[in-house]
Amino acid sequence: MKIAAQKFDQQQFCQQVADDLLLLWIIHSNIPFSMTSDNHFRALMQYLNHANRIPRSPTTVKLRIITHFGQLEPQIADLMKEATTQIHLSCDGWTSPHQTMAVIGVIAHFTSRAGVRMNPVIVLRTLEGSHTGANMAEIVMEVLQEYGIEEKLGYFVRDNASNNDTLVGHLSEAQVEGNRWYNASEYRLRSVGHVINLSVKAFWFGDVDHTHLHHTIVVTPDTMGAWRRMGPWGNAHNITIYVLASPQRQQELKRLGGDTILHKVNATQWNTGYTMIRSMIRNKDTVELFCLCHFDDLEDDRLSPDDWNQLADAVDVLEPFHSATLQMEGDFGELHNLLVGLDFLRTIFTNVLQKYPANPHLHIRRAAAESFVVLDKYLEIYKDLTVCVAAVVLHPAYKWEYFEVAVEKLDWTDDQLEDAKLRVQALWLTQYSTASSQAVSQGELQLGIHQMPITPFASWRAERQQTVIGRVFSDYDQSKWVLTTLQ
Amino acid sequence: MGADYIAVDEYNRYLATPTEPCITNPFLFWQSQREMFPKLSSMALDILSIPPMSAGVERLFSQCKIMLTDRRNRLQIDSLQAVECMKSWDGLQNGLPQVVITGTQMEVVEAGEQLYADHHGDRDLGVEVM
Repeated sequence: MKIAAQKFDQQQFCQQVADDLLLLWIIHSNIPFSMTSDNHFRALMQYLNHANRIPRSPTTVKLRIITHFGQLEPQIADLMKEATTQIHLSCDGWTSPHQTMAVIGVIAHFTSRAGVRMNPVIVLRTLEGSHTGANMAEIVMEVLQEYGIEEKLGYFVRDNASNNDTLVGHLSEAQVEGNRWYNASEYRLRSVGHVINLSVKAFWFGDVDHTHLHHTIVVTPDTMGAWRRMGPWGNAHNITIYVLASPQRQQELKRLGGDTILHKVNATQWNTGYTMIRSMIRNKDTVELFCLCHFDDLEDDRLSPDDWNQLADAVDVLEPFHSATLQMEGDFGELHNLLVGLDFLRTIFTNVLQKYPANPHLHIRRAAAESFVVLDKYLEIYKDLTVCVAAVVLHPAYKWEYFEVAVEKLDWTDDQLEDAKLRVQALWLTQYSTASSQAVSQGELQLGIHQMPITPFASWRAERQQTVIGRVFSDYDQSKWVLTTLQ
Repeated sequence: MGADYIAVDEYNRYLATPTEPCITNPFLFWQSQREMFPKLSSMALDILSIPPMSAGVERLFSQCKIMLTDRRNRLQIDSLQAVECMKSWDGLQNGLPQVVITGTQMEVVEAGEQLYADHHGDRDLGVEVM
């Protein structure tokens, strides 16, 4: 058990625990540093007999935060230097509200020596000048040097911004100067979230320019007409916006029996369209009643039985996008899900296209076809990224059989498969087969000689025991460290 | 089975074995294969550490937006970086303890322990039939 926690258990006051808890509260609950000088907060603390133990000045709080950060940084650097894997990065630029600063954020992705997958934020820094690839590359290189991980730079995951190519291009040049083979085109990975968003966007808008339709809480006859032309979901959107425009209308809908407030489409996340349609369908009777009550305003947006059917089909198409996003967006999303997930979405489209005859007036078919084109375009690009294919092959449940089935279904050609096999083998031979395996420690090697594991499960358990023993000792040292360095 | 067996090209050796449809968690599978496939497991774990989406960065910026409210618009980038980094580092190392509050009980847990439990918890290898 930890020293800090022991003191806490004994109900004895320990300044170190109080200081740690204060910082944790400020960091995790987004508390302003000035909270410590707030009179009512101090009064509460005073009543609990501890106000004098809490620093008053926001500057002190800031200093402590910065100091603590400086002390933890080398630990994170060590975790990355010792990692079993390369250090993969995802990064993006962002402009703060009120345009006060342009920042770049970078997250590192790796598996630690103890076998734990980690995704720490490693930098958040202001950008001099614009979000160009060259500008961002400069900062990324600086960060890699500061953490001492230039040689471990792995894959680079970004949205499909055009400056991504320049960024990785610059990094690649720097890596080649450092005598390391780093092929920009292979190491650049497009975030699948972006592809899903583009594909869903195509479902809604096709190739129509839709920028003027974003954030349309202010409704004009023009924008309503544009949404209407998209099909039943355009009508659904208009009705939703109409209801949400005033609290009186929302109350009225509720009085008529609506169980939930309708959800609005969020222009940057097209998956929210699925939520919108679903809440529409759930409130079908109420919505119909509401439209009758507001016949003059909503006459053109009333939904026919056929429209409702198409809405239901739209949910069938959009729901898989929603669940595919959920599957991949978390910190532990896995790369094999990328090709497999996109293949799955492709199947959904194929089914819809088979179900409905080719008819330009049938919105669901048009939307699905447009969305399908976008998805297919990116799927072809991903097929050429060796690492995405390798991720599937290295899944013991798939291997190459997965792609052999895809060839039978005509999703892949024989040539594509043969080419992919050569590329994955080349990746293995050039990047991994010759590397020294630092990962297996002495203790694990001995275990390997004396008791060859019978099942994967037994082997895993053995390794886990090793890891747990290692962890107990390192925890003991670390807890001492907390007290000594922070005093 | 001995050193000779291990020395055979690991990639071909892996491909030569039949697929294992019951395995649902390749990360744990490859962790367990470190001795049998020292280099191929490194490759697999490396690739499995790559996120398919850059959603983490988007979440980071949503957090920044919450931090930079109208009242806190003077917050400087070094403070913002320190707070956001440490938020994501919690659980990675042992510098800051984690606080676990359950009902009226409060416990201070050394960071790292919790994460490890989350990751390996009660789950088995992802093999459904053993």
